[in-house]
Amino acid sequence: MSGHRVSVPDREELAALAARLGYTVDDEIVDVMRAAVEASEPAVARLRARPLPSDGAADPAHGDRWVRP
Amino acid sequence: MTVTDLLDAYAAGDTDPVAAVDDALTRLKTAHEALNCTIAVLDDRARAAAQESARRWADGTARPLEGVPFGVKDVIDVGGVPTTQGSWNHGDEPAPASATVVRRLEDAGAIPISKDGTTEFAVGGPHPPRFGAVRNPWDPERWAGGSSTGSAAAVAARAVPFALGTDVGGSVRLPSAWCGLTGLKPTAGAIPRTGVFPLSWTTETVGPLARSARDVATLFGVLRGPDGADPRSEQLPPLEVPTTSDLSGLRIAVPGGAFTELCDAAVQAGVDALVRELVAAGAEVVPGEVPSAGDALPIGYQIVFTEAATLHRVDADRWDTYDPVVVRRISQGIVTPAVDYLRALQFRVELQRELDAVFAGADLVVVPTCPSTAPRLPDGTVVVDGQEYPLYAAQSRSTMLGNLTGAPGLAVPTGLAPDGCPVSAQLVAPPHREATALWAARVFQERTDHHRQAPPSAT
Repeated sequence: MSGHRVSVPDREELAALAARLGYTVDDEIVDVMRAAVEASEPAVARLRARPLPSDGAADPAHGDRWVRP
Repeated sequence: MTVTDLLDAYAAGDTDPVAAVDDALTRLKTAHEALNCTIAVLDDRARAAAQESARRWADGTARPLEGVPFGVKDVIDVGGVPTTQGSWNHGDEPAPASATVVRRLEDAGAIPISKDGTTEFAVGGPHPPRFGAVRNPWDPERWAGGSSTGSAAAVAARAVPFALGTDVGGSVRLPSAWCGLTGLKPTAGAIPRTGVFPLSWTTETVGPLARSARDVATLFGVLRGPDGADPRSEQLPPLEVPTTSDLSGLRIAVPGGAFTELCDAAVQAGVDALVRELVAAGAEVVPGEVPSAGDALPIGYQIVFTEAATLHRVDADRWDTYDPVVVRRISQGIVTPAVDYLRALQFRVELQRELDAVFAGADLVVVPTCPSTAPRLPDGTVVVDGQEYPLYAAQSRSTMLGNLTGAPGLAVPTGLAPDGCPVSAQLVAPPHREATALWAARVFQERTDHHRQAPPSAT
């Protein structure tokens, strides 16, 4: 982690986003969703803070090319 | 019998496909009564195909898998049969055509006899509301694993010699590990997914679950190669699995870190024993670590659940009828920002480069397939060195790396833990080097008999 406390959107924000995107989720699922976002946040925050390699990993197409014969 | 044993028995005239399919259907019925492994039995279709196979053996026109019965995870289409996806919500209409993988096996003479239990949409929990939990043949108080749950149970129970599964975070390798089977997640794109209900286009593969590396090699040879429909499936080089039992020159890396920091002593002992056998057969252990492997699981899940939420948005108004575990898992994908999803895909490239660095000096990576023996029912917890862990915190720690990068992984049984249940190691190879993993596993299985051990309930 980067040393500072990470924050994730509150449950109302998540519920509103889910509704805007066309998903029907009840209160329990909103809570679960927030818990899951919170649980993955340290790894995601590490990734956001990590610089990309300088040799082209920015284009995810490299990931598809790796598995081409 | 294994695939190889059955084909040998047909060739020797010791049995014929009509008798073998009849026996398989009987065993499947018994297995289902004990384990709840089957969604549909294809008995009329299978018996008709067996007659045709018997004729072919008699007149000398037998195909490579002539008369071998198999099971099909019920997210994979068999023409004329519903594909339920383990759900109330889909698939009660007959599939219009068979998936490429089923068609290829049938063209090679194999005979589908069942649609096998799956967690709902291959992502739900151990207790899919429509069909219920599939029990483990080694211990019916445990889960067979998932998501290819019925496929693994049916093969382990000796009802069929092999079955088809799908793997998005370990769903072929984990149930293989927990049921004492040899299971392959191939390189992404090596086996076409046409006719398979999708969960995650970046990470998903189809793969066989069988009882030996030799059988898996035979099946992979039939299943692989482009079909002109799956855009990730391209022309492949020939599959050439070395036939020698001398592994001289084979270099294996045995990384620690995230792969072993949560790992039961019995699982680790199995990995160590496998490495010792490979070394005794001529292989050499070389250094190799994957520094970012610990983030493969949370970041891999981020990709899987974002893609799954995208695929399931069409049914967003009836998620209340889904297995609640499906909704709990994939709903986090709704709110993954696009920049995080794309950063995750960039991380995929970074992990591939870390694997490239390992594979510059190694031919295979050997890691635990999963940290524990099979999860306990009903809660699905696993026990590592006496301590309980939630299923999803533990199960895919070593398998998601292959889904995220696309690298192939082969789960190989390495013995039984003190609790009497199987443990497993995974051989990870560079892309399209499945032959190396299949070779090493076959040599290991020539030198040991873990893969031949049957659950006490199987006869």
